[in-house]
Amino acid sequence: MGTRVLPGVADVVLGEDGILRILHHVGTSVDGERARQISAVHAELAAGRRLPTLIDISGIRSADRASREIAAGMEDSIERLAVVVSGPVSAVIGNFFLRVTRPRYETRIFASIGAAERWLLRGEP
Amino acid sequence: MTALGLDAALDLLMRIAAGEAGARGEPAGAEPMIDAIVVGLNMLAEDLEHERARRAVAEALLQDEHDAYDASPALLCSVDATTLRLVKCNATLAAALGVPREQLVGRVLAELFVEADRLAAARAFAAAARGETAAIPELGLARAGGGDLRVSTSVSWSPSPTPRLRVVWRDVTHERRLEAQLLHAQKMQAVGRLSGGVAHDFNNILAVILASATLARRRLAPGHALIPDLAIVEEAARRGAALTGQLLAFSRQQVVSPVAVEVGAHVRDVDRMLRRLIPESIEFALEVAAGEQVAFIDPSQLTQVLINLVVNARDAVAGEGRITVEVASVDVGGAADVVPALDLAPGGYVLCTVSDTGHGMSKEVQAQVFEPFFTTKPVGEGTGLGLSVCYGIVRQAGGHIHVYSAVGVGTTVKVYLPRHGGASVAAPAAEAVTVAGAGTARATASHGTETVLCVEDDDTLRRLTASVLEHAGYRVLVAGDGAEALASLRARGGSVDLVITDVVMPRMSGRELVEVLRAEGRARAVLFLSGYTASAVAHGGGLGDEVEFLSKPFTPDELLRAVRDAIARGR
Repeated sequence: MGTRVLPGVADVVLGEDGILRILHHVGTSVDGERARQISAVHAELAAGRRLPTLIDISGIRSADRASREIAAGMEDSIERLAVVVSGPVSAVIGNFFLRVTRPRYETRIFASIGAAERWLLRGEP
Repeated sequence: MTALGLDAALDLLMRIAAGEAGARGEPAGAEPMIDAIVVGLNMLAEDLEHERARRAVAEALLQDEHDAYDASPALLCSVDATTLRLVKCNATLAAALGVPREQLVGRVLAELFVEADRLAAARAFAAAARGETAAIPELGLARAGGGDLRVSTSVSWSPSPTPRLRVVWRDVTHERRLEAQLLHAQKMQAVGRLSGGVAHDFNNILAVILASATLARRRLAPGHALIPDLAIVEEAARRGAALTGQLLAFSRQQVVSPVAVEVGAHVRDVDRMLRRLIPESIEFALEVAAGEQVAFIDPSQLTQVLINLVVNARDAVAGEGRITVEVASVDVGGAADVVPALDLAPGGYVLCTVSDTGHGMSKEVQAQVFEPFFTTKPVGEGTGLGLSVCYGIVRQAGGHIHVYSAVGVGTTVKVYLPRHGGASVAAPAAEAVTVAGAGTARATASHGTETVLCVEDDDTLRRLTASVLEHAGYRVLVAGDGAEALASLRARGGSVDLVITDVVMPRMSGRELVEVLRAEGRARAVLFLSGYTASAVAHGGGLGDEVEFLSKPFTPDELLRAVRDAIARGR
């Protein structure tokens, strides 16, 4: 378990349930540098494991190509990923990541955190 | 971004615009929708731009590779390993073969070779395609305009995109031609040395036979039954001398008297004589180009070359046809129409060309045509020395002779003589060197009382020469070589009126002996016996003004005349 706060970027939390949560701060734009910070913290908390990961991008304004590529490349520490969106902007970003960037781990988009957590914990298809 | 990615992005935008996808249960307000569309479009634009840049780099790299492939000086192609047909080739290969690239792609590889090499090519490349070998023998690619391109091959197997052979050919045509010329030149040099050596030794023998037969004939009473037989021996010895003379000409060891000759004018002068050599059924044409055509060559030898070439042309035509003799001034070095030869240095040349429309020669015959005694004529119809003599004369003049021929078409012989910068002379200029030989009519006195030193390493010839001189009244000293002669003279003190010496001898050459004797004041006159004489000696280079030569073999009368001339010149 552990929590890391990246000011102006996101909170990264490893919960007791084993889910690693990346909670982007509202109003932020995610670029490659910020994505690298998140990736480093994720790897630190995962400690060599591949963890079910939840990323909440419901509040972000944009995510550039570099940040998406970095996120898609985190297959060593992400078992599967639930992307939580809210509103059209984050929905576009989430779907772009899913369908265009095409991460190599299983990814789904959810409108609520609860649904996302249930999927991650139960491994439901 | 793949086409699917692009489609997915567009689909997403459409679905967002329709209020679906990721926004379930939430009202899709206008502002958020616009923001979403803007974000989506920005992301799309960014990805498209990235993809465009990536493709541009990839295309530039591909174009670079293509340019390098095409511009490579090597002859490159790729061959389908299954069908052995060309799938690709570079511009250099297409240009070398004279065939447009699009006509090469798709062809069976073996078809690119000359017919004689196709089977070997098919087998070799099939084995390479099976991975059995990467060694392909040197073969000839067929050029569209005729002729072949000798190539050495490197081949590698590539599994992608489809199994294929990557072929790299290196043009070795010029290399092989130079090698052949070098081998030919070395062979001719070796044959020349052998011929010259044989001729030299044979000349000594002939000199003994000729002089002995002449002496014996004179000692017999008139009408003696043996006189006709001895005359036959003399005649045979003279014919032998003529033969050795030709061999010496081939080996470039003949005594020559070169002068600056206006070759065009000389050929016109001998035109009538050349026409007398050929029957009327053969058309003869002489073409002399304008301009200066001066070469440094013995005029009699130039005539001999022309005669030999015209006679060969006549025999090749054998009936109706045409013989053309041309003279022109050419510059070698960069001219596309001059075949580069190993020893044809760049510069100005006088080019004499003798062409015929005769039966021509195969490549095998051409390779041997300058070798002494090589002939395609039946036994008894030629000595096989005609072209050998031409070769020796031209080479001794610093020139080059080359034969071009095709069976059924005819032959062209090109003689390149270095263009001479000095003014030409109509007649031989006064020389420091006087050459004596058969038929020379000069001094008539055949006796004397002077002291003569005879230096000759051939024992028989030395004794015979001394005998002829003693019989004519001279006081004769003999020595087997230069060192012995010098020691003998120094031991007895004093000097001699004339030194007769062979040029090439063991321990001390005749030239070296004469230099020492002159320096010590022991010889007033010199007569060289020139059966084996380098042209520098024959030209009198560095020996002083009073130099006489007597060619072997010689008759007793010729020896005695040369002795009187030498003594007279020494006074």
